Order: sequence, then structure tokens, then C-alpha cells
Amino acid sequence: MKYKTKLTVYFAVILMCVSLMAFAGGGQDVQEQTNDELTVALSAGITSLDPQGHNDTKSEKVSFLVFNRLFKLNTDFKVVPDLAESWEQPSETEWLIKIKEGVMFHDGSEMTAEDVAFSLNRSKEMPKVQQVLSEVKSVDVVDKYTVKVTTNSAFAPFLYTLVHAGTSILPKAYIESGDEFANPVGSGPYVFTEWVSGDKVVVDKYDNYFDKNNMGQSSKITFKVIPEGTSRTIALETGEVDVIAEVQTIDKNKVSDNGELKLHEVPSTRLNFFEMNTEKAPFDNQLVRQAMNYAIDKEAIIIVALEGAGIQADSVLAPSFLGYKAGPYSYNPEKAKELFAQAGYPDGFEITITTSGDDRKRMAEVIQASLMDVGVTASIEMLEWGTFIDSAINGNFESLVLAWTSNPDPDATLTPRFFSGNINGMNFSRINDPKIDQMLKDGREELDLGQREKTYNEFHEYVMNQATMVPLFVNNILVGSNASLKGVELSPQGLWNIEKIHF
Amino acid sequence: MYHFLIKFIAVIKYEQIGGTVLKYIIRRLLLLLPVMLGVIFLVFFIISLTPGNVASMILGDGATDERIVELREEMGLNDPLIIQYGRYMGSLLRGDMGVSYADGRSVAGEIGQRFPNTFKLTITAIILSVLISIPIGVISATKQYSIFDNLGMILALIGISMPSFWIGLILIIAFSLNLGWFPSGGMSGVMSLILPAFTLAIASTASITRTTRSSMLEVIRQDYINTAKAKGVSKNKVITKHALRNALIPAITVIGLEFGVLLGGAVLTETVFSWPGIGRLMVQSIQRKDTPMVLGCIIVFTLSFSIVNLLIDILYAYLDPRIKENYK
Amino acid sequence: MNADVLEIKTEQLLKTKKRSQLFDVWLRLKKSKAAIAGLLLIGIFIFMAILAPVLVSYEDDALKMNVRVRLQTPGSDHWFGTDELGRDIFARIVYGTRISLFVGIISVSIALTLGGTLGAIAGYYGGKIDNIIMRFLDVLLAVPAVLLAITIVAALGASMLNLMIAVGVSNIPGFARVVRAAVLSVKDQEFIEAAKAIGAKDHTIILRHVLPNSMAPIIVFATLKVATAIMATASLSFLGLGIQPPTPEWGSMLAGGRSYIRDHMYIVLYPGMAIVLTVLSLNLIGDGLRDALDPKLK
Repeated sequence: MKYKTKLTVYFAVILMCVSLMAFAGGGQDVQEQTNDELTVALSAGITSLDPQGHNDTKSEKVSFLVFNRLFKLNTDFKVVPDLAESWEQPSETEWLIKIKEGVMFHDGSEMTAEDVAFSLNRSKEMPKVQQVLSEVKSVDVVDKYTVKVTTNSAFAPFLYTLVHAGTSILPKAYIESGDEFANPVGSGPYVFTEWVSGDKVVVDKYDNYFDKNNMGQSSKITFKVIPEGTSRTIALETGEVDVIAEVQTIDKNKVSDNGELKLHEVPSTRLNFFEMNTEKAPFDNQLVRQAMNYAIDKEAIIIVALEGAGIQADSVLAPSFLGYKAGPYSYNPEKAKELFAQAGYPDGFEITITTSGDDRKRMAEVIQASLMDVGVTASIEMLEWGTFIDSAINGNFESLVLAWTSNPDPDATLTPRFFSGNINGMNFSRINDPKIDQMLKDGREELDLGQREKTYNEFHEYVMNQATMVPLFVNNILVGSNASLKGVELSPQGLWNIEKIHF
Repeated sequence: MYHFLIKFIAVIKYEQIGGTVLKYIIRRLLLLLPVMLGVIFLVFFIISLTPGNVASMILGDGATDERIVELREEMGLNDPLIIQYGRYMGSLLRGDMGVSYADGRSVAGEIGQRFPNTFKLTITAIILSVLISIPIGVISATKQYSIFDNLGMILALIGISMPSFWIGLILIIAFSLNLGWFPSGGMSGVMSLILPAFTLAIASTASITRTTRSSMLEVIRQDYINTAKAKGVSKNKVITKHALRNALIPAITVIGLEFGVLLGGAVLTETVFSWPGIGRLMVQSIQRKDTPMVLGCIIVFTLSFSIVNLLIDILYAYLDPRIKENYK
Repeated sequence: MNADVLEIKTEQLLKTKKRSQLFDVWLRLKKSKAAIAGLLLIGIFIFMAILAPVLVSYEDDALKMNVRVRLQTPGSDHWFGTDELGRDIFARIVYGTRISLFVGIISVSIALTLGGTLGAIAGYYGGKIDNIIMRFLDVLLAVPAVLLAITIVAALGASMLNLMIAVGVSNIPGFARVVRAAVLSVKDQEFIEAAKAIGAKDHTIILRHVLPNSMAPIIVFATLKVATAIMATASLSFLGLGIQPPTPEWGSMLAGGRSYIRDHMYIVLYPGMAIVLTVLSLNLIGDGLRDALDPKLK
């Protein structure tokens, strides 16, 4: 009898605690798998909700849902109008762009030319995207729905610049309200709901979206940050998430062999590279930079980072681009040592490789091991994604491992990356060379395709001789999704048109 | 434990005894204050050792020297440490922990958003530990040198020797990858809580079991237990009524100390399981070089630890009448 | 009795006491199978650490990347397999032993020196000094140890030296308390009184008479703390805040192998086992020592 009482008390305690546990664990976040909601896993947190406050493909995924630009890229990377209704070119340097009428921001106000001009001008001043519209001289309001953009000179790829997230159209009144993007207001198919930094971003469908053909298909989209590659794949397998924007290569077959999942693969324009800060010793020495191009074993990096499934990169763009020309380097540690000696570093030197994320850490480790063979001691500094990008922009690094996903026109990559005006922007190597600047200008203004190709050809040759970076590889983009999802589309930049995905 | 809690609440109702306990609580609270001030200063001091110029870090290499000097002045970084500390304490008392260097968001807000998650995880873990360890410890002691005891003690020893992040990985392999029973990470309902809570609980379970067993053994050997036995009180009753209560005192102290270990473990467990608590926030903030956030996290961790220890001390005072005597 | 005779007598008293105590402890320790197992185990690890260069080559096996043999399952060529860069996991574990034991012992030495000094002073002098030191320790103790270590490394930067400082400092309060208690327990005994009577200086008394006679609990505590320090080292390295790649440290090996756990579980299995076994052996020894020193708990 006594014994029984004791047992009862004990069970009561267990019961109490289990219920407490249930309460503690439940409460919120109990995911009833309604087929109406979509969860997308990202490998790193977004860096900003301000579409003009970032320039990375993770933040872009959210920006593209909440904001619109005048133009957008379709999955074939062709420019198609988004907010723009029509456009014409009164002269070589002038563009008249008319926007659609009745586009409503999430706060219920209508978008006008005033907002467009304001946003494009703001874009030119925002440090992370200033390079995008650097050719734009002025933006003026013509009437309620029309703006006139004047460029500094004839600018062949102008429309391509207007697809960048950094040219998103923001409500002027909102920016002036000083809310600082705590509750961003856009015009896109989804309305911002919640951002838990480093954890998740939630957006809800916007029923009043202007483009009825491209309405959001899921009622709610949650972007979940899962930095660790294996965890991302598992999360997809267990149904915690419905789409993963980056499947780590070693898990490729796990996704493709699973009947409930689908692997989407697309060749990309994503160039992975090892960039050197030309303002810091020893990388201020061209010979050292060239030597690095001989010292790094790209094949080993492709094997380790991509299980061998990548295309070795030999210049500053993917081979498919206009005017591409491969650089003169191949893996040759002996040659590298020779050059180091010539440059005045016969006994090697010490460097720091800065990067972020599991995949890039592995790449950095391979580079570290390659460099060990030529007498260079490298240490690896791991930073959180946003801080890493900031350090890259600010030149707070000696060398870094990063990737750049190119928009279709060569200029959209080359000017941001090599123009001296984009130091403290995306010109991470901080190369400041009048000849490069001139060649970029020539390429940008040249309207004849053959001549343009020739210009870029020379550019590749020259810049690879300057050796501001060691191009590593171009990889296929792997996206994994639940097989019953519809509307998963990929562009060479990866997961595309997320608003169309639904069960 | 449950009936002690009930009794404890009852005690507070009786004014006379309640007065003593209340006095004790007040005294402990008063003792806590200078310690917290000291802790915050200590942490503040450690963080201030960070090499590199914060202002130039924020502004980047391209910044002019004048701008750096200006920003340093704006941020009050030129003031002596003690002044900076005073200013920080001043805003801390108003619930303001500054803004993040990384994204300009309020540190207090961010931590407030994440703290409940860490709370869920650690509380579940400590409850799990207590539920598992106390019975095992008691049974081990009463059946000393039995197979149960030996096995239990070997497991407990292995338990305290395993790093939590490794257990976490192994559990993910076993229960998430191979069996598919639980999610491998993230926070999505009760199922996602189980693996991290269990991972976090293992080390504490092991050490609370060990303490319970050894203090139980000590108590059992004492004379009054034999007296009770001699009087013909049943063995079970002796254990529950007399021995357990006295043996629990050291166990409870260990629970308090283990809570600190648990909070440290939370940093690792949250990282392994992508659990959005302040442990993971702290690691992320370190990688972001986000000093105000790191400072905020460590202060909240320490405060929670101190509060738990305060609660433990109060419980302890109730259980051990000798301590109460001191404050009459 | 003149002072010289008294001194000699005291010395003798101390010596016989010490010797017989240690001998007794050993006799009792020998009886504990668990402690012997622990000693054997840690012996193997120490042996591995010392003979590391004989067993494997640091440069070629533990550091050099060799992608042709990456991710090999354990076999006769690579006992514990190879990691994602094709480095031999066994070789890395062997050299990891050196690092773990070194960092563990050095950081405990830091803690013992600093904490021990504080504790000895507090215990020996008592009163106000004791009070001040104890309040300071309360402050240190209020921060959970691992978190304190993480904070220190976060501030100073991740390197082996900073890691040892961090783990050492976070263990100061523990050592101070143990040493203080030990000093208190012998402080009033007659041979200390005797030493005082012959006019020995305070620091001589503490170093030559008090500490040697209160060594037992300190040794137990230090043994257990080396175990915790090894664990803390691995934890911090796992978080990327400790020993940096390519240095083979068990915790950072786990961090690196994490992405491969599904198909190549051995990458995280063996380094983890190395941590568990080292820590376990030290815990076994610590437990055994405690029981041997304090037989009533047995």
C-alpha cells in the first residue's frame, strides 16, 4: 500500500514533467503540415532586409519576393519587364521608362515615378550596390508613371543592370519614415512578416500583388537557416523543409536516389575564386600573385569540395561568357617556388585566408595544404557570412575564398569586380589600374559585338597577368526539393521564382 | 521532489517559519547584487581586451583617420573602462544592452527573442536529468555492489566523459539519419526538442546520479537509519522518509552547479542541433565580431545561472534546517 | 629542547607522514580495478604522445593532403581511415593526443598556480584577506566555466596559447577553493604550530609544510580537472574557437568531419572515442585516488 503511494507520487511527477516538456516544446512552432506553406532552407542567414543593403544571393532570395525591380531575368537569363510597362531610347544615353499603373505597395500606397527615381538614386549611394548603377548620371521624374534615366555614355548593357536586387523600387515615404527596415515595405508577391537573425525569415502572400500572372502560390514562405550541409539534406529528407537552395555535393545522390525527393541541377555562372588583397603584402607583389596561380591545386579543391564534379576555372569569368580567354597558369609548385624566390620570398611567408561557411572552409583547407608544399603558411579565419562580406568590401583581409554568380552580360561582373571606383565595393582585390578601367569602359560602350568580344579578350589576358585572383572552379548548382512540389525553377543563379513554388 | 515543493510553498504560508526563509532570501539577493556587478565588470573587462580598433573595424580600411577618431568619440571608446562600464550598467538597468555591430538591431530584443528557446532546452534537460538520476542513484546506493549499481556507475562515468557535441553527432547519426525518428536540427515542435535535450542532459544525469548515490550511501550508514530499521520501520519507508531527504541536499547543490555546466553545454548543443537559442547566437556573434551581442549573451547566461543557484540555495535552506538557524 | 632539534623532529615527522601516506594511498589505489584500468589507459595515451614521431610522420601522415586516398574506410593501410583531405586519421589522433594532453596539463597548471596561490593565501591568513579573495572568486564562479573560456577566447582571438589561458583562468576558482579548504584542514595541526614556533616565515610554512600535507585533495582535483580541460579544449576547437586547422586536434577534427557523418561515420567516431577514453581514464584515476585517500566513502 505504502509502496503504491510512493509509485503514484513518482508517476505524478513524471506526468507533470512530461506535460511541462510538452508545454515547453510546443506552444509555438508546432508545424501542422498544411500544404499551403513552403519552407526553404538556406545555407546562411540573410544579411539585410534592405534590397539595396546587400549584394549576395541568399539575401536576394528574400528581396526578390518582397520587392520588385523595373526588369527581371527569366530562367533563361533574358531580360523581361517587371514593373516597367514600356521603354524607349530617345538618344544613346537616354532611357524613358514607363512603369505599370496601379502597383500597390504593401502599405496600400500606389507606386509612382517619384518612388522609382528616389530608389534608383538611393541605389547609387548605398555602399554595397553603388557599382550597379555607376553608369547612371541622373534619374528624373517625367510624369506620374514615367522616369528618364540618363547614362554617362552609351551603355550597352543598361537594362541588365536594372534586374539587380540593388535596383529594387522602394516606397520613398517608407524610407523617409526612418523605420530602417524593421518592417520593410515593398511591392512584391510576398509581405515581410518576421526575421529572426541567423535563424529564419518569414513572408506571407500579398493578395493585392499587381502581377496577377505571377501571384505567390504558397500562402506563406519560411526561409530557414541551416548552415551545416548534412543537416540541410536531412531536413529535406525528414520533411522539415521542402526545398534546399544548396545541396552539398556529397549528398547529391542522397537526394536523387530518394523517390520522395527531386534533385534539380543546372550549370551555373558561379565562379569560385581565391582573391588576394593587392594592397597588402605580400600580395602587393604581382609575381607573388602569379605564383599563387601556380601553387594552388585546383583539381584537389574540386575533388574535395565537389567530389570531382566541377569545371576548373582559368579566368575571371565562366567560359561561356563573351570574349572569354583562359589564363596561362597550371598547377606547378616548382614554378611557384621559383616565382616566390624571384619576388623576394625565398623562404615563403605567412598569410591568412578569410572565408565563411562549411564548403568554403574545406576549400580553404585544401588551399592551405597546397600552400604548405610551397613553403607558405596559411591560417584560416572563419567569419559569419555578413561579417565576411563586410570584411571583403572593406579590405579587412589578406586573401579570401568566395564565389561570384554572374549576370549574363560580362560587364555586370567585370565592372563591379575590377573597376577602381568599386574599391570598397565589390572590387575586393582593390586593384587600381587605369588600363583596366579604360578597357572596362571600352567594353561597356562598344556596341559592335565582334569588337566587344575582342576588347574582353584582351581584358582577360591583361587581368590574368595582373593575377588579382586564382580562379578555382565553376560548379553546377544543386537544388533539392520535395518531389511533390510544383513550380521549382532554376536559373544559372540557382533557385528562381520562388513565388511560383507550391504543393 | 514534488512533495518537497508543495511543502516548500506551504512553508512560506506559515508566517513564523516563512519569515526566516524570507530573511534568508533577502540576504541572498543582497549578496547576489555585488556579485552580478562584479561579473558584468569582469566580462566587460575581458571583452575590452579584444585587439583591434572597433571603430576602424566598423568603418573599414578605407576610412579616414579623422572619421575613426570621430566614431571612437561617438561610441565613447576613448573614455576609461570604468566610465564605459558605468554607462553600460546605466543602460542595462533600463533594459538596454546596446545595438548589434553586425546588423544594428537591438541586443536586448534579439536576446529576448531567443532566450525562451534556450530556457526550453535547458529546463527540459535538467528535468530529464533529475528524473533519471535520482531514482538510479537511490537504487544504486541501496543495492550497493549489485549488477545494477556497477552498471549504473560505469555508465555514469562514461556519461561524464563524453563531450556533448560528440554525443549530439552520434545521436543524429543513430536516431535521425538511420532511424529517422527525430529531426536532426532546428526548432520545430516537441520532436525537435528531444535529441538536443537528451544530449544536454547526459552529463548532468551522470554527475547527479553519482552524487545521489554517494550521499545516499553516507546517509544509509548513519546511526539513525539503523535505529529506524531497528524500530521495525520498513526498508522502503526508511529510504523514502529518512534517507532520501537528507541525501538530496548534496544532490540539489550539484543540480545547481550542473545548471552552469548545462548552460555551457547549451552553446555546443545549440550549435550541433541548429537550435535558435542564445548559445548559438553567442557563437554566431563571435564570428560576426559583434561585441555588444556577445556581452549581452554572456550576461544573460550568467544571470540565469545566478538566479538558478539562488533558487537552489533557498530550497537547500528549506531542506537543511541548520542553514535556516543561521539566519534566525 | 632547542630550536634545531625541534626543526629536525618536525622534518622527520613530516617526512614519515608523507611517505607513509603516499604508500598507503598506492596500496589502496592498487586494489581498485577501475583506477588501474584508468592508469593503463592514460599510460597508452602518454606512450602514444611521446612515441608519436616513431609511430607516424607528422608532415606526411597527419598534415599532408592526399586527395587520392581521401575518405578511405578503416583498413590495413589506414587503421582509422582517412579524412576528407586524405590525411590519416590514426596519425592525426596520435598527434592530437600530444596537443590534448599538453593543453590539458598546461591549462590546469595555470589554474593550479594562480588559483592555488589565491586559495593558499586565503586559507592561511583568513580574515579580511580571505574575505576579499573569496568574493573575487564568487565573481569568477558566477560565470559558467565553459562560457568564461569562450568569452576569453572570443576577446583574445583563437590560438593555442589563448585557449590555454582561457581554460586555465576559468578553472581558477575551483582550485582556489580546494587549496583553501586543504590549507584550512591542516593549518591548525601541531606540526604547523611547531614550524611557526621555530620562527619559519609564512611563505616557507605554506610551501614546505602546509601544501605538501594538503596535497591529496589537490591531486585528486587536478586529475579530474585535466579531464575537464581536455573536454573544454575539444569543445572550443569544435566551435572554431580553439586550435585551428590544419593542426590535428580532436575537437577540430570532429568539426571538419561533421559534413561526412552519413557515409563516413568513422571520421567523427575515432576522434570522439579518443576524447572519451582520455577523459574517462583521468576520471577513473581521479575517482580511484579519491577513494584511496578517503576510505570512508568506499
